[in-house]
Amino acid sequence: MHIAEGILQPEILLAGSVLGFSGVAYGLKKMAVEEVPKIAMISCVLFVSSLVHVPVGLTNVHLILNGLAGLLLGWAVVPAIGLALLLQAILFQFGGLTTLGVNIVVMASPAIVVYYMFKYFSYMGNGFFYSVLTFSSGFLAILLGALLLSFTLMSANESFITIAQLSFGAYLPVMIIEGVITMFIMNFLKKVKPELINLSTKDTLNAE
Amino acid sequence: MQNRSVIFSAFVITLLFCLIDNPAFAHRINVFSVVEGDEIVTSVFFSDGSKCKKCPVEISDMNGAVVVKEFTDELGEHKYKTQKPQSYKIVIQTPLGHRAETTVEKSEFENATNEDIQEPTKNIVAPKNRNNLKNKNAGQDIATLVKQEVNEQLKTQLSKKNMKENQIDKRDIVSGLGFILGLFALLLHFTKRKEQ
Repeated sequence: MHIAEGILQPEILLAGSVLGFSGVAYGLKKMAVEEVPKIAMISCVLFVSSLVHVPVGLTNVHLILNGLAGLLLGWAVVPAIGLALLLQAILFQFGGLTTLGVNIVVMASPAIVVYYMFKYFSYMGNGFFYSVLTFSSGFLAILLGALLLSFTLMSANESFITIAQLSFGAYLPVMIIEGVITMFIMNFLKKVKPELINLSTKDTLNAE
Repeated sequence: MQNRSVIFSAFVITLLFCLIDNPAFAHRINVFSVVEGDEIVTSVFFSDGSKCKKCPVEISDMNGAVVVKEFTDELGEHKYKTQKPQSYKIVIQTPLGHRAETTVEKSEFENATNEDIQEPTKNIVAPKNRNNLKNKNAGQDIATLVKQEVNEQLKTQLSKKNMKENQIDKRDIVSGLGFILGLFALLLHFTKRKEQ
């Protein structure tokens, strides 16, 4: 989901940068000091996860894990993704510096959406419901990302439907894989270290 | 009971990562073009070295006029027979947002023409048959064959070198992780200091 340089129109780049960097600023503002080590670790995971690739047909797609990061970090996922993308652009030439803002929006917005979805529904049930919810979060984060990617690339390419179909086909395996990974990791953390997912408790929801 | 499910979850997570843990680094396309005679031969590959099959290739002249818009073959290669020797720009842009470009200069065509090897005569002799070496064309034929072989080898080596250079260095991964941890540590340090 890294859009390379030289593809998008300047106005899209500008709008993406404004949105992306505002998100980073807001995420930094909302970030609790105690959460910094966790954010750093998840940012490292996001940085490395893009290197695990899944060959799909004529292209290669890679793990993104934005859904999992969103569930664990909330708004702090935006600076975590931003830093990971910045270093990927500098060190690996994935994406680019001018497209950084757009790439942040494409990856972080779905993470925020699934964070709120999880937050509102996670205390409604345990067991099977919890597993379905976490799977959906991982799945949906990629689906929304693919839709946003298609919407963004619409300015540079053909019709939205064509790109959306193509990206849906390419990212469908990643949606399923990430849904399963998110489900197992969240279940695992709930059992062994529930304080890591304390963002999703009813108290913190009311506190906001 | 709870321990058992924790162990099961840990096992499944590990298994999932093992199944997809193919550390072939992708998600960036690279393009490599060489001039062969009057043809531009373009190779497109991902940063793990895997070929980019059926990738859109757009070749334009330096004025920006598109001269050809085609796709790479199953080997991730594309050949274009040029009309006249001039500089060309080769752009690869996939619908999902990958992009790479390169150029071939006019001088590359001139060099390729000067070094262009003539086809050997039909009756090529095997070096084993020393009597045939007396044939006045034989020496020339062998030289031509050797040149062709060396040329082919050089091209392969160049392509491999290019592919290797475009792969991700493990040092970059480690330094990236170091940067992230270091930057967050600095953030933590300054925030704590401010609080105090």
